[in-house]
Amino acid sequence: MVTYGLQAVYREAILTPADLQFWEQDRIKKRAREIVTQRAQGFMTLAFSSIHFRELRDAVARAAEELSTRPDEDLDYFWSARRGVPTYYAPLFLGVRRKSYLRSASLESVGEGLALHLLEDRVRHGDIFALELFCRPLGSTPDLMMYYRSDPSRLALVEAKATEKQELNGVLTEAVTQLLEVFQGWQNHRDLRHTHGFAVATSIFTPGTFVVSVLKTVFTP
Amino acid sequence: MKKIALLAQWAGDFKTAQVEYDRLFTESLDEGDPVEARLLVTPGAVCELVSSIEQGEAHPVELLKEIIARKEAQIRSRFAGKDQSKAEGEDLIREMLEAGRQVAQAVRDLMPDSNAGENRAEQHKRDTPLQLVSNERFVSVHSHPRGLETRSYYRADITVDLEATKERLIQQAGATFTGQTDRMLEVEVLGELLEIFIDGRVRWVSEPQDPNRVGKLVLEIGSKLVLRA
Repeated sequence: MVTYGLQAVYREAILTPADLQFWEQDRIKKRAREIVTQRAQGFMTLAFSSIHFRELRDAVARAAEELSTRPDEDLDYFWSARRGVPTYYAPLFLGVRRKSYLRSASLESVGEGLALHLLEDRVRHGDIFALELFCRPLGSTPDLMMYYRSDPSRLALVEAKATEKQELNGVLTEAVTQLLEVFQGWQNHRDLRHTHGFAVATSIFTPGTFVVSVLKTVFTP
Repeated sequence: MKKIALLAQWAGDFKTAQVEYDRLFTESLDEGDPVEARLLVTPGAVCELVSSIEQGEAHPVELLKEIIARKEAQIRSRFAGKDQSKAEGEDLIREMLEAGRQVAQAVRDLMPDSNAGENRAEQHKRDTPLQLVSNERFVSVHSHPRGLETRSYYRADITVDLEATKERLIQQAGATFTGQTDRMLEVEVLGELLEIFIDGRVRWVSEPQDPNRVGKLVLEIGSKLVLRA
């Protein structure tokens, strides 16, 4: 496939000191769920319609934690396999949990690449994104550290998640949970008012199309 | 600027990346910003190491120790004095030493006994990518499973006017375009596809051929990019 459909929505949520006061996992998750399902506002459909496979490969090469040189081909095989078309091997499912055959090896990499692709945008949504990659921490959260082109002193911590399922709120909540944990430590080093959080969730449920939900958190003391 | 350091790394221009990281690291120390310094110290050391290996450094682990020691002295001199400041400096040094150990181990794993079984000079000549520079455009040509991979970037934060570039390349280079988005052009050159990105990066994967030829061709195409004001 040469181009893939790209449907993206954007919301913002206010982060308060109360969101960062708990250390118990279940309470952090509860806060994250509340942010995703109740507090996120300003729903906006972003003006993206497609991504070229070379753009996807380039973004994945720069953002992904693991090497994935041709994520587009992995996805094409994944979508074909899901339709029942045999790929390299016949589907062999032994009932082992979390070892489903229908899982794309490039799933996480694609989620990270798409997060970079959207947030780097300086053409369609230069007013809300136009971020630049600062570094890609390996083996730790967040997935990407970025800064605003207009003001390099303002940072953005990005957590990307991807799922084969259609529903995005679950993975978005996971991403916000991890961001809350990072911000709990980050506030010891930096003024949170100058650091935004971006939770980016991607669904590859629909063949040939990426559905992405971006949630930006802005800290207000 | 952080962007130049990252672009330079992408293109394999490790010397420029090192200079940028070192400058940013020194700035962050001068501004008393240990968080920023933490994020910059290891990439700078790694870029200096890689750049030296490309220039034929035979003892990379020893060189890494020297680089770390130099940066440690720089941190100690900057954070000497007040207790809180000193503690921040010690934290930074501890993290840098740990990162240095990981990098040294990676070097040992990736370059085990590099002198064994082969003439080192020959090996170095074969493995070192071709690099060309002209008017701030840098080009490197690496080996690739399909032949050669050429990567190029411009040593400034630029935005390419893709529409105007497309017109110019059609008129002046007889280029054929096979794809275009708002951030990328896909150009057919000598039967192979070349990618031009909005931030000035150019990437080309081509069949095995003279690296000088592809390097100069990418340099030529790079010189024709139209930049936005």
